[in-house]
Amino acid sequence: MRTAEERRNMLEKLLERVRKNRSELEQARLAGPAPEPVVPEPIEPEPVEPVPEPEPEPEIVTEPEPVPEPVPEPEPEPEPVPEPEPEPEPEPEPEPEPVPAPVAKAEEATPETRTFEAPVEASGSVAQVEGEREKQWTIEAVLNRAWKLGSSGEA
Amino acid sequence: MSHPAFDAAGLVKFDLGSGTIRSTGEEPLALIPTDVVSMIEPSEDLDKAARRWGALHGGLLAEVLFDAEEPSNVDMLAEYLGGSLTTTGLGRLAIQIRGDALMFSITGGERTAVSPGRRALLAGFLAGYLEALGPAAFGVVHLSGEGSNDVFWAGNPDAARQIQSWLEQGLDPLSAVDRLAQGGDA
Repeated sequence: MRTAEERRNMLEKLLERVRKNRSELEQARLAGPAPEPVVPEPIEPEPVEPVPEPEPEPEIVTEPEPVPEPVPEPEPEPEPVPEPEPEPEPEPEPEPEPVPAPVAKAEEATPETRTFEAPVEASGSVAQVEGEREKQWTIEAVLNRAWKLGSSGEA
Repeated sequence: MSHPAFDAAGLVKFDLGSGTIRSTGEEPLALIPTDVVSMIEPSEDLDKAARRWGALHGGLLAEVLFDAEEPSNVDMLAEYLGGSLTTTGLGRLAIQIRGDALMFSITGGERTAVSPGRRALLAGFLAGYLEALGPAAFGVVHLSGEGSNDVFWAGNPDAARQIQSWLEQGLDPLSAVDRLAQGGDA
C-alpha cells in the first residue's frame, strides 16, 4: 500500500511531464509548419464474407377480390292495386230437381234383343239351334208381329 | 226335335257327266265366286233374281212347316235359313228379335268382299225366303255393316220404305227400328 506522500510524488511527476510536453508543442508550433503527421498505415480490415442479402420475398400477387357488381336495387314494388272486389256471383240457380223419367210405355222401353243362331256343323247333316221354344216364338207369330210393325192391316 | 233337321248334304248335286249342278228341286245351279257377286250393282233385276233365289231355299222350309204337326219355333227358321246361307257361301246367320222387330245378322268370311251388290243380294234373298213362308210380301232393309257383318231388318214393304227414309236422314239404325215400334213418333 502506497502512502499518501508517495502518491503526491507521482502526481507531481506526471504534472511536470505534461507541462514539458505542452511546452514542446508550443515551441514547435511557433518554429514552423508542423511536420506531416505520420499517417499510420491503414489497417486493412479483414475481408468479411459478404452476407448475402436476403432475397426479397416474392411479392404475393393476390388477385383483387372481385368486386361484387353493384346489385341494382330492386325497384320498389308497385304498390298493390287493390283488386276490384269481385262482383258477387249470382247465386247458382238451384238445379232443377231431376224429373223422374216418365214411366215408359212397354213399347217405348228399349226392347230386349233375342238372338237365335244356327251353327251348322261342317258335315251339314246336323244343326244345333239354341233358342226358346215358347209359343210366342213360333215362326208364324214372329213373322206376323214383325210384319205388323208400321202397318195398319193384317199380314 | 220334332222336325227334320236341316240337311245340307242334298242341297247340291253334281252331275259331272252332263257338266251340271242341280239343287234338290232339280234346278240348275252355278258356282259363282263371291268376288264376282260383289261386282253386281244393286238394281231391280238383282233384287228380283235374289228374291227368286231366296224363295227357292225358303220353299224347303215351307214344305217342312206344311208337314209339321205342331207349329215350329223360330229356332227352326234360324236353322234352315242359316243352313241355306251357309251352304251357299253367303255367310253365317243370327236372327235378332228386338221387341217385335225382326233382324238378320249375316257375317261373311274374312275374305268376303263387302259391297253394295252383296248387300242387295242378301236383302233380296232374305225377302224371297220370307215370302216363301207365307202370303205376305216382305221388304228388307240393310241397317248397318261393319266389316263383313251386315244387319238387315225385315217387315212389311211400307215400313221398309219408312225405315230406309229415316236411315237416309241420318237416324241411328236401331233408333229407326225402335221408332217404328213406337208408331213412327220421334
